[in-house]
Amino acid sequence: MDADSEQAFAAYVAGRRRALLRAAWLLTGDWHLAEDLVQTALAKTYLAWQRMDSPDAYVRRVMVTTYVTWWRRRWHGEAPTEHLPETASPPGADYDVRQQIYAVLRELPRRQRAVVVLRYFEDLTEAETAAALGCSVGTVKSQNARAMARLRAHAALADLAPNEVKA
Amino acid sequence: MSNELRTVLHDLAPEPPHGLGEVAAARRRARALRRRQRYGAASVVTLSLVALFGYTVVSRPAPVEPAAPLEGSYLSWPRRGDGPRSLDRAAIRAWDRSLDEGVRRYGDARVLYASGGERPVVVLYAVATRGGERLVVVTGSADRLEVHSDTYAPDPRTQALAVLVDRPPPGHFGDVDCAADPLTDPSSPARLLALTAPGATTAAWSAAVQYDPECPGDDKRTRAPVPLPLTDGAALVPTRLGPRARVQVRFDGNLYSQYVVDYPGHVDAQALRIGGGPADPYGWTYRHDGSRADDLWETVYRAQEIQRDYDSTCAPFWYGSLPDGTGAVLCVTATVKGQRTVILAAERADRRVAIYLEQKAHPAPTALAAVVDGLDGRWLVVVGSDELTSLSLVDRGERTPIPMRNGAGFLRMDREPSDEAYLTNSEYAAGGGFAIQDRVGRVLARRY
Repeated sequence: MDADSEQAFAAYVAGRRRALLRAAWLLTGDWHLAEDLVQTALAKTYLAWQRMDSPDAYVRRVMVTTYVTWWRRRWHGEAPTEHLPETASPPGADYDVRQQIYAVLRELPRRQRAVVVLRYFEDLTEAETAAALGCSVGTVKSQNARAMARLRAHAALADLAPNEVKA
Repeated sequence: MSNELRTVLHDLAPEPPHGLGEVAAARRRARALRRRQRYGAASVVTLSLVALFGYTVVSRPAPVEPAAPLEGSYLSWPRRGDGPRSLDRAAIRAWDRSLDEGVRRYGDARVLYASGGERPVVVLYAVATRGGERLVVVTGSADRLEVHSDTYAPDPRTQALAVLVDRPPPGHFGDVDCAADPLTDPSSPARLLALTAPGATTAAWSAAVQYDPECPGDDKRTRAPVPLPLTDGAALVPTRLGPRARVQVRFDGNLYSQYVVDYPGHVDAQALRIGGGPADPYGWTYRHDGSRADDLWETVYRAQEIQRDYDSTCAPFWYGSLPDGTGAVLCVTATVKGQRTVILAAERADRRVAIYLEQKAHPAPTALAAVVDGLDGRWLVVVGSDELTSLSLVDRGERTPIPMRNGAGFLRMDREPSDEAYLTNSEYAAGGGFAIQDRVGRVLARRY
């Protein structure tokens, strides 16, 4: 990679690392695994840097496909925990709600969890989510619907949006 | 709902710790990837030639020689630490003393680490007649050594040993002091022993405290990684961690070969501190014997995703290792209709899993039992509440006791159980109290 590309890659990482790490944390729930996931995605991006148009799309694609297929790797077994790890703000009125939603999120199958993170944390469209996951838009819709059904069934989220839940 | 979910997710995702996601690390990993890609094809050709050469060589008659230890085997690890040799014998005696009746070790115990002084620490590797390969940590004083932990020995190529010593054994923490800071608790001096293959050169430990139901409002906090001074892959350092802290140790920060050890005390301690688990249907304590069963969860999850219409991952609440080393896991999942289902699965020789129990999660059974085809023989596997300390199998007029440890027991089955077979608890049955066969007898007889 030439010097300009190196510089562009470094600038990209500096600008995106926070968002990528937070998304990876939502997927894995563990900083060590989140870091590993992001580094895996960035390393592959680095190798393909000079021939890609959209680094964001490429990184997301590598990140979620790596995450979804990580079950093969022994040391990535997740330790079950019923409690929310680090929180951005001190416990308050919404603390329990977040904790409970986090617990539901952690119980979702990996593909569904990836859809939720891409759609509602990364704010991707269904088509962009499908591209990141390498599946059809229909699959994204069905996975999203199932994830939402799980979340809707949750009393805490029902309280947040009673009208939509009833709908 | 979508907007609410967006808000919650953004609130939920914490700020990353400083130092993660560095560009230099990505470059290093990319170079490693490139090397792997570049030399991959050449390696295939080379390996083919080597294999051909090897085949030619081994096809010839050769003098019989003892097999060399496998790379990464505990047998290839040297004795480390500065403890005197007399400590080795005392530690082995301490372990022998701790063994249950009917259990003995095969051959010699190997000393992997020995630190002397007023508070010695010795790590043994041995094979027991029940429990398979064991890693045993012996601590105490020069006058009196006792077993601190006795766990299934993990694959040394993928996991390492990390143990907090100088504190009460797991399960005897006593009252939790919520006022004490688990990450810097001056009243809880302990030493962290980290041990891996002698080739490891760098290591760091970090700690975290998680919300504890006994100390409400105590959300997770982490302690920044601290370098561990490794000597030949071993380190013993002082800490000031309270009993609620969880410890992670990383060896050789290279993420391709990392392994995270997550033991406060040792794995059983982690189990005890976590408590009921996320979806434990019975209120049993989450238990994990440190065996290789933990990686079954992902496999079980995937197997059921493919084969059945479950709507959640299978949340494990018991991991265990059969006496022949077979990994097993007990987990609970839910169907799309919300039916909670308990699954008992065990590994097969091909590293896939077989499901032996799959049943509705009835409220609070005393125990679950199934006959499992292990890697070396058939076993009756019983998992029950923590208080379950004695059980017997009654079949064809014979009563066979099942040794229970941490609420789980195993019995080699030389023949199929009859339809009348049942499990009983002699302590209660003798006094006319309840007998366990009322609840699990049918499960035993119906093999999935």
